[in-house]
Amino acid sequence: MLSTSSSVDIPMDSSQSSSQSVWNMTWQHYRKHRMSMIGMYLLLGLIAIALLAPVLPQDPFLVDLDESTRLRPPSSEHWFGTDKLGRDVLIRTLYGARISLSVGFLATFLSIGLGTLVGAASGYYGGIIDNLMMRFVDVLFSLPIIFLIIILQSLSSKPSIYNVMLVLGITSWMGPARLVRGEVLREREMEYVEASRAFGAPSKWIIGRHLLPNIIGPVIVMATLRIGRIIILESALSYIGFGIQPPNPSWGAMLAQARNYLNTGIWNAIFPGIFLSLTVLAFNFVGDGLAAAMNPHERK
Amino acid sequence: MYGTIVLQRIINTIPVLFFATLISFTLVRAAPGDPVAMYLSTDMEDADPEVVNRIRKKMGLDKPIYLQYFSWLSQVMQGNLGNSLHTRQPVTQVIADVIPNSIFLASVALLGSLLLGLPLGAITAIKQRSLMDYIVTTSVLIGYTLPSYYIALILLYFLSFRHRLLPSSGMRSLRGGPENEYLDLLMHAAMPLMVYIIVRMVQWVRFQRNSMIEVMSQGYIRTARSKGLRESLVISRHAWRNSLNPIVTNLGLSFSGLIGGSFIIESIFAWPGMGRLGLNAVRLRDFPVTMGILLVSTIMIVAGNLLSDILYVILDPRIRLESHMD
Repeated sequence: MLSTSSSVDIPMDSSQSSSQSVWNMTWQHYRKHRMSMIGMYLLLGLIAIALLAPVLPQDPFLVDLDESTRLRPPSSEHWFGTDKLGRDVLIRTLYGARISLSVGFLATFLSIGLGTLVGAASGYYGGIIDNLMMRFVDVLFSLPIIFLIIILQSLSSKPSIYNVMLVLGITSWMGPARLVRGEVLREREMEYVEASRAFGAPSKWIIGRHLLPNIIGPVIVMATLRIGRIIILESALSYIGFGIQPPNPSWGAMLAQARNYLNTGIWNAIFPGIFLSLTVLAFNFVGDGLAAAMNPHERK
Repeated sequence: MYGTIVLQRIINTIPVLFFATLISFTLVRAAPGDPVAMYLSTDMEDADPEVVNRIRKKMGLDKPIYLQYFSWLSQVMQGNLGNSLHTRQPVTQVIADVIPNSIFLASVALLGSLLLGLPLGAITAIKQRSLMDYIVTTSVLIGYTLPSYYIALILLYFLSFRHRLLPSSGMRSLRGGPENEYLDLLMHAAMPLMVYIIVRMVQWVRFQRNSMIEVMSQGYIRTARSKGLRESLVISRHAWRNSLNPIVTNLGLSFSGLIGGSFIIESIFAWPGMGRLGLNAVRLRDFPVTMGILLVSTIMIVAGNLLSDILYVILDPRIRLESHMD
């Protein structure tokens, strides 16, 4: 992902005295990009759906085996049609947003948290700590991560949604760790940090006041772009049967079922797919928008 | 001079392989399900405890995990990966049977994605903000947001269900396929390949577009232009060739993604390769086979990284070993 790493230059302008103005400037720039704003509204809509899904007067698990309700095409009663078990596809798709977004956010939060911890420690302390941690990252990167995730998922006989979050989180922190380490290493050598050190500022002050605020931009951008990838990964795992288990309405699991009756119930494949794609697209737009908005070269 | 660098890089992979297999082994052995029960294919309650103990001792399962790891490792050194708990065949045999199928799929996909992705990436970089650029970057974005299995679903629907053009799974027709066995194979491989190529191509288009833009802004391009060289020659002789450097060094790094993709794509299309074998082994809790596949995939990924490391050094003589270490 060359584009990400090259576009996440962060503001180093010393005239920005308070962090408030940095965020303000970022926002001013961000709102000028139409795609970024579309992505943001899309995302807010999806979050609203995810939060409000349980309020809707429909049960995503309600099975209706009556011949007249099974595998029906979209109608005024069931807007997205029904599946093989007579369940409403619309409400299941909306619940899917709840599952995908919570897995996406929490797994990413975990991986970014772990990555920042490892990367910051590595970059700041250097020496043997850095060496050991980075070699460990190399070792993990030489394993087939997807297969590892599948094996980890098989450790519990019936993996819950928390399982999926945990597994995806602890297998994807290596990229963030490398990014944060690189940023910390670069910032640490900056003249303003040296000046601060010359004034006798303690490490704690330097890390908290200079290093972390300056790396938070690239980390946020990376996190946003990764949520989309994590959501795809979760759905793919669910599709091959190693992720969220049925009857839970995860998009991947719904699509796995839809495969069995593509000819007689294509709507079962269309709607979860559109939602999945839009979700990933929204995170991409927002991530790219943030990257551009936080890049001082483009901001001019 | 390259000799020592290459040798050092090869030596560097040894500890990586050691720790990677140690982590794999610990994980796979931590999985629930008793290998002895798997081996006897019964519930443990029905089994004779004496028999169970004997087998457990014979398999070395009574020892602590790290000792089990070392005995596994010493067997691996002698080319023995153990026997499948399920079919009782040697794991080396089980893997050797399917690995050509995986390599066939992955290498054709790699080649196809490069042949399509690199020119598209370069053209969009040269003609930025043109209609072509717009169409390609939008398609790439869509391809990027669609998971491989969803692309597979769409293809299955149109090519296999609506119109019976291509078989939906497997590698060979049991009956009723075309007379020519190569044509039959090709028809079975077509859809997995399309999915694989689309998924990989998206990466190359993005990568090559960035690389080409980067190269086009270099000083030597300006020099070439200002000495009056035709634009087509500037692009073909200077820009295109130099833009390929990062691609060449990233070829090896892409092995990891190719292998990762094989687990998903092979299982979608029931393609009898290593990925599908791996998934089945995990489902059956067949730990020798799971471990064997982890080992083979890890060796391939490490070999890819090594390849890219070496090419990186060879292509750019300015790079000293020390400066690359950190």
